[in-house]
Amino acid sequence: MKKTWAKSGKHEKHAKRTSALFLAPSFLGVMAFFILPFIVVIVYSLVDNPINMEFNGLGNFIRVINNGAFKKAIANTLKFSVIAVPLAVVLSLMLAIVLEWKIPFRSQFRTFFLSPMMVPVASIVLIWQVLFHYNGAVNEWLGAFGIDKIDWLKSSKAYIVVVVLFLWKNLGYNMILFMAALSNIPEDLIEVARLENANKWQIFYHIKLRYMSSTILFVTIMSLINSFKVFREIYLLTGDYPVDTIYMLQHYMNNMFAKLDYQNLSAAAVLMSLCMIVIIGIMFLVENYYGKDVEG
Amino acid sequence: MKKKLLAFALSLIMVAGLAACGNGNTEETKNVERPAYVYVPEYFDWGVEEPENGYINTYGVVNGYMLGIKSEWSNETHQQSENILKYSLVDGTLEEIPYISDNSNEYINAVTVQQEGGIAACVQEYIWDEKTREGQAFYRVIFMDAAGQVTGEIDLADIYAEMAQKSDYAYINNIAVDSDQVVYLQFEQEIVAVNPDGSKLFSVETDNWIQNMGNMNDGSVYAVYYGQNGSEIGVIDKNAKAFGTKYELGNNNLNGFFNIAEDNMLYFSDSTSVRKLDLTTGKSEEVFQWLSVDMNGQYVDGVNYLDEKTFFAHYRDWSSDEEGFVKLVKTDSSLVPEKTILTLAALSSDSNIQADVVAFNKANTEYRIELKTYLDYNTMTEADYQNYEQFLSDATTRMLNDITGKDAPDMISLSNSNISMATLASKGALEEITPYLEKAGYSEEDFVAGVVNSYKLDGKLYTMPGRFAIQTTMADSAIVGDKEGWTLQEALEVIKNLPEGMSFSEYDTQEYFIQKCLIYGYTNFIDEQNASCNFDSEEFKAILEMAKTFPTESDYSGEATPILIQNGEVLTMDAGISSLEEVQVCLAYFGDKITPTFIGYPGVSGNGALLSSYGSTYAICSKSDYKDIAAEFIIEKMTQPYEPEDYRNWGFPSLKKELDAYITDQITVEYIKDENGELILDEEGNPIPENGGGSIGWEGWMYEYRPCTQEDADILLELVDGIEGVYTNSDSTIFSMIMEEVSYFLSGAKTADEVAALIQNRISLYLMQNS
Repeated sequence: MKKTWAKSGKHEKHAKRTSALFLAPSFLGVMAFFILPFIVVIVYSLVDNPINMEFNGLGNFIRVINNGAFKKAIANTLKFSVIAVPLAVVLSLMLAIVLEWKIPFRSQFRTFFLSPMMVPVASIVLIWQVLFHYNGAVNEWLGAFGIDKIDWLKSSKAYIVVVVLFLWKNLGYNMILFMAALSNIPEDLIEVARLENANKWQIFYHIKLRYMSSTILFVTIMSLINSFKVFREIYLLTGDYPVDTIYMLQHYMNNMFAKLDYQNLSAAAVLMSLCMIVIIGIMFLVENYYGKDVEG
Repeated sequence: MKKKLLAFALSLIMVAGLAACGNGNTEETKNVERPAYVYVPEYFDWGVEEPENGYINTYGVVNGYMLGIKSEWSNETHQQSENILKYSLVDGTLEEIPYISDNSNEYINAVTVQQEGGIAACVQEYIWDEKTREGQAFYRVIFMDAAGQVTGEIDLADIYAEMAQKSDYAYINNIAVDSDQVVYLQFEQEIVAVNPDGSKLFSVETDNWIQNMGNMNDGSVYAVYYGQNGSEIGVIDKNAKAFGTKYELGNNNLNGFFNIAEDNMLYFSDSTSVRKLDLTTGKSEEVFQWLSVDMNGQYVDGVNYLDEKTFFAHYRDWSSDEEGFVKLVKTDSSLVPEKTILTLAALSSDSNIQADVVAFNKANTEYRIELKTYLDYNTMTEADYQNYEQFLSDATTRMLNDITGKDAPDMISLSNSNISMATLASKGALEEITPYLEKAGYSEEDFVAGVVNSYKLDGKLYTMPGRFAIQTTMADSAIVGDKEGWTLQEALEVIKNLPEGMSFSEYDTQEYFIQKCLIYGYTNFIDEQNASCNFDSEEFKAILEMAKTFPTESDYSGEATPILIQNGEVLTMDAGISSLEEVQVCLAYFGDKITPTFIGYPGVSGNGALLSSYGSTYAICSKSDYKDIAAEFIIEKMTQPYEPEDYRNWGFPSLKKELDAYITDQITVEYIKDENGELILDEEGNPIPENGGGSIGWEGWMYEYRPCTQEDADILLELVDGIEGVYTNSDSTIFSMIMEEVSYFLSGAKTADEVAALIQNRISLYLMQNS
């Protein structure tokens, strides 16, 4: 049915105008601090340098894609995301399920897993340095068992340290989200399922997971975003140019910024955004498929 | 459809706004807003002539008077006379109050004016005992009334004896008197309060050096000293016998004088600005910058506030020995002719930049340079010192953003920027100087070839220093070969086969040896063009192993370097040559039996020597609207004439004809003549040269200078022509990454293979990223 303005009526017009007015400050803020700067980034990615501002076509993108360091950064970031994000989601879901049971010291466990969120990043990094430095506590402990020192932060083992750090920092937050989602599942559905002799696994898979699909999507997206932010910890631990196994995409972009290479930086940012749009788009499609029963 | 059209139109409007993001620097965006008022300098003479056989010391401004001491030796009476100079800043009158003493060993070493106009001076007598070969100092304080009549004195023998027991170098630096006639004597880290009867009242100590003392408006005494967070002022509480109220000045490099105005503001200055501290609130703010009044703040002794419109300052230009006074009057800026502003960006202000800017602004009626800096060492806090690298990095980033942003400066000081010329040039941020040189009537051939070649980037010249020096290494040619320039491999071979008891260099340590190999052999390990490196090579590992044979710390307790070289204990010597005289000294290090060669640094191209610059090096920013004027300023610096009397003229001129003038001046021998113009002959009947003379030496070695010769000049010119690099061009990021990993090898934590592999990994990544 074709809607016309005539059928909307004065009241509806007024309502729309009023809502537009209330939305305007937020809209302008988003415009000023997110959309417009991103448009500037796109412009910078298409010019030769910020002084001359001559159109360069896709030259910057080609140069970035052909750069060995960028390729390595992409590979490392994807690898990290593929390993760390599912681990973060699955482990936190498991923790949430365990804490849902009436186990002793339940609230203490909850506090324990939440506490890394409250600690500033710099303090966390300091602790990690004390533990994993070449002359740190972990190597001292290994030495007591006659094991040679391992260069945790400057060898391929650095990857393990970063994954553990990421999980330690983010499990608590994800766990809380899952706990909230679990508590929102209608109890009567589960009772009905039990009455119909559904086992725990069937209840979990067919009811709980379905109901939590939007939360799982949200947690996955947040974990994915946080997996990019792990650059912060790596940077504080190992500086601008770490060992190549933990050289991430944001290292590349951060170093480009420091060298005034805004074109490469912008091109890399645009490419990363396109990747993120595709990945998140796929996740939304998956969620739509699995969660459609719940959303009706 | 309408909604889609509306959305599209909004997008276009947003994108259209980006049209402002370009390089369209308009006159409107570049104009600097003029302040409502400016301070206009009026130079004046206080009417005191520098005595021919004496000197004048200024002691700052106290209670509205500029104080000084004029000391003069009389050839007729063979006596030293001292006059206290008291110049009123209120009415401009000068009083010379003679201090007459029967004791020719006495002199005034500190003086102050009391609030009613009387004088209090600290007099020192130094007696040398020929028998004991020891000297002894005696101090007393004398009081004079406004007419200069001595009205009283205090013997400080007991007080000084007590202080001399605490320190061998006890010396009274300053004197102040409070409203109760209690005298305060400033020693290095202690102030002693003395009663009018000469007895000690109390003393207060500080943890650091006391810079100055003065009177508060109520007559009490304050001291300025270095505290926890920079300089601070402590008011002495006589009742508590300690410092009472303290104020942090937040400043580290204060000029000498301070004074407190009636409005309870403390006025003080540093090398960049005059500031005032509100003693009521403890907050300070800038009043004006020295450059805004066309003065080099580095030359200012201090400032005195007279009233809300007037400041006085005393300055001494130590490069030209010019000194004088200036009155700074607050004036409505509409009454002062406006000039077009050019902006010069530098990381921080230094003496050379200030001198260059002041000289330009004073001479130019149409244009004016304003200096924009990004960090001020005068106001660094303790936290800034602790995080100095971050502090410097933040300032550098702000400077870089400005250079590439909308309000880019017109010029940049490359020697004071922490930014590589190559980085800026690759971004198109710098303007080539060659066309402007041609306009000014110069060509590249007019300059020393080594300087031009060292500063060219991809065939383009953006700037050059006006003066330069040479850094190289010298060695025994019998061991290294009679040549100039050698590879890292050749150097390592020589080190491996050194004769018994001989070390490669005197002060090289493990770390320093590796640093030198990296700095000078940079291109041996890094191929920037192909973004590759070979730190996992046997050559680099050989350097690491070789470094372990060096000591961990330098030993400065041995004999003089020339003796070690001539005894065959040391092979090489680092030579910094900034004058023709230094050529002969470098050769003299090797004595008569060794034939030295200027072998250069291992791995450096050309003859192995490197160039370092003196003074500031400036470049034109490509976004400037005043490139011709900027070029005029820069070319003037690049083509500095040789002026023998200018103490700032360190190094060699970059302009060939000036270098020739310098060499001619140095090798032309002038002989000493008597008052009739006749040559004075020595015992052997030879005329005595004015040039040469003097000597240099230490730890048992001495060399007497001779007049410079054409041979010295030929050696210098040959060195200069063979230079192909600038001293500090290596990438500091690569350098610091390597040294970070090398420390594990030197401490024994890791093997050479492990360290080399890790360095190769990190540097490869760095080069790949930046290719």
